[in-house]
Amino acid sequence: MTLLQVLVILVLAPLVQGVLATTRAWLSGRPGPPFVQPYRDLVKSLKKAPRAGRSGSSLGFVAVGMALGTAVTILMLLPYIFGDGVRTAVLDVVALVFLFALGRAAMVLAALDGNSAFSAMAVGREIAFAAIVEAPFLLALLAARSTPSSALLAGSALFIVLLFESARVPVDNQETHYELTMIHEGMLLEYAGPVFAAWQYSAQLRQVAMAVLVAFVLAGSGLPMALCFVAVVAAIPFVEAFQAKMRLFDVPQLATAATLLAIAALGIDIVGGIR
Amino acid sequence: MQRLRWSASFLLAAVAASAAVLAARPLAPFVLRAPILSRYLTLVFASTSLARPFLAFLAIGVTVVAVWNLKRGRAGAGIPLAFFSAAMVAVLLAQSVFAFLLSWELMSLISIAIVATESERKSVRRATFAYALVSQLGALAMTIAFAMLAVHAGSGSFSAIGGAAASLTPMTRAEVLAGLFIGFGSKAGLVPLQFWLPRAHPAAPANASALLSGVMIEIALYALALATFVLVAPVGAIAGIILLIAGLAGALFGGLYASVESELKRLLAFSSIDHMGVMVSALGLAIAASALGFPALATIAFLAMLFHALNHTVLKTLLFLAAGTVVERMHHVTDLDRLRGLGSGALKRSAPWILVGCLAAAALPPSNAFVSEWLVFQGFIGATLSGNALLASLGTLGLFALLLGGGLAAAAFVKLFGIAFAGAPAPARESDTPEAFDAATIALAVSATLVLALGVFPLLVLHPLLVLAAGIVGTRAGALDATLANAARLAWLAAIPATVALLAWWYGRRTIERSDPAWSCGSAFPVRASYSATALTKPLRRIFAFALFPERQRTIVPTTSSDFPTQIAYAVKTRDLTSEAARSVAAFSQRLVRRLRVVQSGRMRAYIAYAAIAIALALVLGR
Repeated sequence: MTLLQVLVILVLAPLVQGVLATTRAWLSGRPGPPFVQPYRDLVKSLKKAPRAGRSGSSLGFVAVGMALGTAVTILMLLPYIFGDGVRTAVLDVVALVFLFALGRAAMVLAALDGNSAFSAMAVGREIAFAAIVEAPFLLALLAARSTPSSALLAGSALFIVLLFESARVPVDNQETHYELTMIHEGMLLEYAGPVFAAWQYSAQLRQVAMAVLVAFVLAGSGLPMALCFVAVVAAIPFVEAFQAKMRLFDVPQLATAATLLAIAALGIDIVGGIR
Repeated sequence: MQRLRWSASFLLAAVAASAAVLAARPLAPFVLRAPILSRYLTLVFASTSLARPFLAFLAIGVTVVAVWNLKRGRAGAGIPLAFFSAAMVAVLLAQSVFAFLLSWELMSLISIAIVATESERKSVRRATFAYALVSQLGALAMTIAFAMLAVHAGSGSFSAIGGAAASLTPMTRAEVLAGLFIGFGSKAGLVPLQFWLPRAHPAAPANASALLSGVMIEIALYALALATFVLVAPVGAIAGIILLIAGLAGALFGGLYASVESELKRLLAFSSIDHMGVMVSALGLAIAASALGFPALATIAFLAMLFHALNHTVLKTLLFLAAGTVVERMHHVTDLDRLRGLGSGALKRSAPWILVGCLAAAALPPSNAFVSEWLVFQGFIGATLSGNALLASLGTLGLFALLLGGGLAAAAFVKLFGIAFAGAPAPARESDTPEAFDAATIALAVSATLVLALGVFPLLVLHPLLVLAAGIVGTRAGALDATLANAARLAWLAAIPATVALLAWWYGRRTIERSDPAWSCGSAFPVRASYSATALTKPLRRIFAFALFPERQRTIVPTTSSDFPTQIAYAVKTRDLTSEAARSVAAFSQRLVRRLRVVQSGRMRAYIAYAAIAIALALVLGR
C-alpha cells in the first residue's frame, strides 16, 4: 500500500505543479496554461540532447542523481493515506529533515558547479534561508501530536516552511525569470535537457512531500489527510496571488514567525503532556 | 629526507599502536610512588573503561596523520607530533591528580610549541600567545580544583577522590566544578573560552591542526566526562544545564562563524567549535537527565556524545589533512575566494574523499556524523517528550539551537566544497604536476571510507559504546535496543540517493557534451567573475548582522571619471565579541602587571623580605 502512494505521487507530482500554476493564473485574471503543462515541459526537456556548461564538472550529475534519489526516499518515509505511516513519520522526523537537507545540499552543489555568478547569487540566498527554516521544520513535525490548537500552530509553521521549500511567493517567485531576484530557478540556470528535467521533477516531488507533511500535521493520516492535502494545495495559489513577493531581507522574519509558531505548538504539547 | 619522514611516521604509528593496545584491554593500575614525596604526588596510570574509547579514537586519528605524513607536510614534523600524541595518551591513562596535571601540562606545552611552528608569521605568534595564555589560565583553575579535591579525599588517586566525592559540601563542589569546567572547557573550545581556538588551530601546520582539532579537543571532552561522571559524581542537574547551554552556544557560535568564514582552515576550526558544542550539550543533557531521574535518556545522550567524538575525530582529521594537501598543492593559498575547481584540477584524486568529509561535517546522510547527530537529536527529542518541565524546555531549546547551528554548518561546508572544489578547474600552472594517488591521498581515502563505514554500519561501534555508556550512567544497556535498531536502519536512507547518483554520474560521463560558457547575460564570462565565498555568504552576514557586526571597506581609486576607477579594493570583516572581550581583558591584565612590576625590584633584600612575609602570613593564616 505504501508503494502505491509513492507511485501515485511519482505520477501526479507534475500535475500538482500544473494545478498550482494554472490556479494562480486564474486568480490573477489570466487564462493560464493547461494543467498538464509541466508534463509537456518535462517531455520537451527529456527529448533534448544532454548538454552542459563548459565551466561545470561531473559533480553536477552526481548531484542531480542524489537529489532525485533523496526525493524518492522522502516519499517512502512520508505518512500515508493508506496504511501505517504515522509510526515511521514520528520516529524518523530527524531523518526526514536531514534528507530534505541532503537534497538541498545536492542542488546547491550543482548550482555552484555550473560556475555562473547568477546561480551562485541564488545559492547565497538558498543556503541562508535553508539554515533558518531547518529549526521550524523539525520542531513543527515534532509537535504534530496532541491538541487541535497545537496541530493548527504546527501546521501553519510547516506551511511557511513549505513556501520556502517549494520556492513560492512571498519567498521566491516561480514565474519570474529575472536573474537578480530568483532563487530556485536561478540555481538551475546552467542546466538544460534531461538534467534540467530531473531537477524540476525532483523539486515537484519535494513540493508534494511538503504538502503531505502539512496535511499530516493538521489532520493526521488517513482520509482526513487526503482532504487536508487538497486544501493545502488549494491554499498555495491564494497566497501567491494575493501576496507580493517580500523584500529579500524581510523573508527571515517569515522564518522567525514559523519558528515561534512551531515552538508555541511544541509548548502546548509539552504543557499538555505534563498535566 | 625520506628516511626522516618514515621514521617520524613510524614514531606516530608506534604511539597509535600502543594507544590501540591500551584501548583493547584494561590495564591494571601502575603506581609510581616516591617515598620522600607527599602522598599527593603519587603517579597512577591505568586504562579505565571511560578512557578506553578515547584511546581508540586517538589511535585512529594518529594513524591517519602518520600515513598522510609519509608524503606531505614538513619531513620532521611528525616527531613533535608523536610526542604530542604520547602526552595525550598519558592524559587518558592518568589516574591520579599529579599524573594528570603533569601529562596535561606536557600536552599543552607541546601543543603550544607545535602551534608556534611557523612563528615567522606575526599572526601565528599572536595566536600562540593567546593559546598559551588561555591554556595556562585554564591549567591554573584546574590545579586549584584538583588540589581541593585531593585535600578533601586525603589522597591524589582518582578512585579515592571519586569515592569521597559524595561528602563534598555543595559550596566546595560548585567551586571545584567551576575550576574544572574552566580548565577543561578552555581546551575544549567551550563558549565563552573558545576565542583562541579559531586562531591557534589553523596557525599550526595541517597535520598538527588535525591532531589539535581532531583529537586534543576530544581529550578535553574526556576530561569533562571524567570530572562529571567520576571525580565529582553525582554533579547535579545545574552543572549539566550549564554544560548543555555552553554546548548549545558553541554549536551556534561555531556554525555561524564557520558559515561566513572564507579561510579554509579557520572555517574548519569554527566547525570544531560547532561539533564540540554538540558533544558538550549531549554530555550536559546526560548529566541533567541522570540527575532528574531519566537514566535511559542519559544513556542515549552519553552514547551520542561518545559516538560523535569518534566521528568528529575521523572527519576532522580528514578535513584538516585535506586542507594540508590544498596548502601544498596550491602554494599556500587557502582563501576560498581564490580557490576554484580543485575537484577536477589540482586535487582531482583527493576531491571525492573531501566531499565525503564535507557531507560528514555537515552531518548529512549517509555519513557517520549524521548517525551520531541523529542520536543527539533522539536525546533532545526524548527530553522534550519526557514530561519533566525543565527537561522539556531544555530539549526544545536544544533542538532549536542544534538545528540552527547545524543548518549554518551545512551552509559552511556546502560553500567550502561548492566554491573551492566544484566546477571546471582554473588553468593549471606550468609547474603543476597532476595529483598522484599517493600516501597522502590514501590517508584521506581511508578516513572517508571510515566515515561511510561508520555511517552505514553504526552498530559495529554503537554496541560496545553502549555497554560503556550504560555502565557509566548506571543503567541497563538493553533499554535502548529500539533506538539502536532505528540507528541501524538509517543507512538505508542513502541507498537510493547513492545508487541514482552513481547512475547519473555514469550517464553524464557517457553522453555529455560541454560546449557553452556559463550564462552571464550574454557577455563573455571571465574567470574573475566567478562568485566568491565572501559574496556567497552576504545574505547570512546580513541576516545575522545582530551577532556578526559585519563591516565593509571599499577603497576606490578614481581616474578622471569616478565611474571608471582604476582599482577597487573591497574587504569585509565580521567581529567576534568574545574575542574582543578577551583582548581587552588581556590588555587590562598586561597594564595591571606593568604596574605591579614595581615590586620586582631585583634587589635580594626585597625578595628575602617577601619570603619572610609570605612565611609569616602562611603561619598566621594557616593555623
